[in-house]
Amino acid sequence: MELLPLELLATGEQADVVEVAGSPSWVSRLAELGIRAGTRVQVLRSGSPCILLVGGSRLSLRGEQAMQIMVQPVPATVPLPHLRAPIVECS
Amino acid sequence: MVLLRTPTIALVGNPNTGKTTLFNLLAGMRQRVGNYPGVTVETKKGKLHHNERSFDLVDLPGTYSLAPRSPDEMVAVDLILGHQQGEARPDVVLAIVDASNLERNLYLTTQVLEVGVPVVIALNMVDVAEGQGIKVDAEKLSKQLEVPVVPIQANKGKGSAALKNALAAAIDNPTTPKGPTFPAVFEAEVQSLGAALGKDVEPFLIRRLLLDVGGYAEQRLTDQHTDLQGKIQASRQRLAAGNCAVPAIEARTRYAWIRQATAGCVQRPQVRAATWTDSLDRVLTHKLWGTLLFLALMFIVFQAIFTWALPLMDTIDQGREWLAELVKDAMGPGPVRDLLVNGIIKGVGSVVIFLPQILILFGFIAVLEDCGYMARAAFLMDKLMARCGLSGKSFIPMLSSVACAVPGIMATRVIENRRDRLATILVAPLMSCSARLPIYILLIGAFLTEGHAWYVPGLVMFCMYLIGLVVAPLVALVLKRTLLRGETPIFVMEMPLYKLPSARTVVRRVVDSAWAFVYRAGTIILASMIVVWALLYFPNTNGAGERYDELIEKTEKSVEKQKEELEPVVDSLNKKKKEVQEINKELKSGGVGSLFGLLGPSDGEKQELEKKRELLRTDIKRVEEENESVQKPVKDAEDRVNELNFEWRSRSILGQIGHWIEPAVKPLGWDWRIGMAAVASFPAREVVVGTLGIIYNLGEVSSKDIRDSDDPGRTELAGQLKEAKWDNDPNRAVFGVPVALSVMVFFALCCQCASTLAVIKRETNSWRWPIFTFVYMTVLAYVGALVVYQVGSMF
Repeated sequence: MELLPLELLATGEQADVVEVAGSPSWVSRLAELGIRAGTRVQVLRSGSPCILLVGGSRLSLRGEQAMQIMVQPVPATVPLPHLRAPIVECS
Repeated sequence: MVLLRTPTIALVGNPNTGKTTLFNLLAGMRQRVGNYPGVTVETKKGKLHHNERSFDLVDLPGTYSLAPRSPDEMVAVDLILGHQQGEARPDVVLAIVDASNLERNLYLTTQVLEVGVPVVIALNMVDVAEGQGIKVDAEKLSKQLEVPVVPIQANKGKGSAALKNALAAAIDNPTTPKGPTFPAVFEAEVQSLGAALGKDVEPFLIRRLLLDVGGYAEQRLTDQHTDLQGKIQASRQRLAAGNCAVPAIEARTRYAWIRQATAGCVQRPQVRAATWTDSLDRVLTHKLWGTLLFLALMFIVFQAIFTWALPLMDTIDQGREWLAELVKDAMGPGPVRDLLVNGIIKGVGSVVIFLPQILILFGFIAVLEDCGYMARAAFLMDKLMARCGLSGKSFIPMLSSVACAVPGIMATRVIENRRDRLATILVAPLMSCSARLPIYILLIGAFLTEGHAWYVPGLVMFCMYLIGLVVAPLVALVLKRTLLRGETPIFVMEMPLYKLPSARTVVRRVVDSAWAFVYRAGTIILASMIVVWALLYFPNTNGAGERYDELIEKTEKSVEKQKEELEPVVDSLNKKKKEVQEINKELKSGGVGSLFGLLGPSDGEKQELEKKRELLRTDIKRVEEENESVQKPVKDAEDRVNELNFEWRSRSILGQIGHWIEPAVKPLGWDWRIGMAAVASFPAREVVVGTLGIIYNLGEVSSKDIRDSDDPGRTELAGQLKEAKWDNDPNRAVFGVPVALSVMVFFALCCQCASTLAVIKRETNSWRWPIFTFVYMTVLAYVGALVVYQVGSMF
């Protein structure tokens, strides 16, 4: 399946975050809030600003920022958005 | 181990995890608020008592991470590291985490573990998590994290005994926790940088230096070590080449560690249960319904401020007058009495008078914030506020400033972004507050009512309010593009779960803000009131060396006997006048008992009331005519007193300043008297009405009289203003429509309000911003008044 910016998801849709682009401080702030590659998110209200369900919390982001999060949509039948953290070792 | 000093516990955690509730639970109601120079955040301190021992408890600002991006965020790091001046390094850190969102909450905890201070974890909201079908095995989690984990329900007070035991144990037998380990390549870079920086800099700070690109650790340390920047860049490049690029490496390491440490500890349901919050959000965050509900809510809040605060403020005003009379009767005339009456009692009164508004607004804000609604309001208003470079969080502070900028500015604390918060603070005083109302009412009543179309008064009043609504966002935009320019703040806002507000938290918040205002701002307000008093009081003798206060006292005494005779007449007149006022009020606003003034009297009732009013008015006139002969000497004496007052004030230092600045205010169409009144109104703009009263020989006029009079255009002051002439040209009237407009525009834009400036000083922790606000608003006001007068005189 192709990648989409998070902003293009409709209300109710779920997706896995593939990449967070943007300045380093923005990337780390989102990571602190749980949004990073591998996180499953659900859009509770689309638009700008939007509301996302991440882990157990609801976060609100603006459109220009949601544009920088690339996601892979997940069929709605897959239950439960929760946090997943793949382990990548450094070489 | 036995400590000789009181052990310190620092409380850290994400926002919305019940941190404040836990702090209140542990520390009780006796708390202190601490401020640090150069930052706007506050830390609260309290004492925790357990088994006859006591500990110092410090509540750090809620944060998602210990990666400092601003001086404000650095406070938490400095406190934990023991770098904050005057604060001991904590002996144990109490990390509060939300059980329903464990992984994300533990992110901050892993950073705390890295500092090397013993840590105790309070696993909060286990009941909320269980409601969602999430179960956390605290015992197993504690084993795997190698840190004590205590399940609690802070809002119900459950688990506090176990938590206190765990804290005491951690202090008595401190153990250094083990946090996540960064890859070896990363640690090698930390060591080589550490060698370059010397022993004083902790490994924790060096990791932050490497990880936070453009962060506060980098700013601060590169200021001290000039060659550091190049070394950091080289390190980061080597890390990127080794597949360990910052900042990704941090999240990767921490979340991997969290996943291992929580493995098998958390049970989740297969399908997420729909919660209360989901159903409520469906309506409350809806673009149309949510916005309508929000506006309705705001209407109720402001209606409440006006209907509940105004009577309280009038009561305070009356109390102040009563006290002033008491002092006047008890003491002889002289500087001390005058200082007490016109300086101190007036000054204290003008501080206390803000309390009803502050208490009511903060009551509402505290309830809305604690139940979780505030984030939804900010969400709804974000799009609108983004147009002037601010975020949704600025909306409520700006709107509150329409009632009064003081609580509005205090309400900006919800804005985390420093630049956004400053911009909001700096433009909030432009919103047309209720203290401007008496000036508008007086001048519109005097110059823009009679002989003008019926819609003119309302239109002018509307325009005056519009000035603030238009200029404030424009100034905010300019500030954000110039002085407060910087990276566009990242707008990420967490929307907490809805919950019932806790009475303890709400009361605490309201009491804190009221106290903060009285204690910190109150002193500055009082000081400025006393300075202006002195400028208006001295010199207190006339050319012949006679003291004005004694002359006035003598004149007043000379007619005392006649006055006594008149008293019953005056009393009955006043009573009748009051009745007329009551009728007017009813006619104007609404029927008796209608809480929000929404329901007016019916037409039949109106006619009845009007008839009654006419009868009362003729009655008043008759009595006044009958008593004219007795009233004459009293009236003469009163005129003499007013004349003396006028002479005194115009010879005072402030009066001289008024003459001196006349060339500067002439382009605005003002004479020295208006200039002086404007200067004298520095402590509070509503004072201008009273000062105009004095300089136009009427004695003190209170803004309440103007507000309550049924026809402000016919009050004595309005009449005097209409007849005022220039000193050097007795045929030329001072006031006309352009001058009235110019004065109104000036007061709409200026910052003649010591309370606002004092609160800005308090909230920004520096004198720079109140001075800046005063200067830019005065310039704006001058230019605005100049344009209005010059353009207005062309017609």
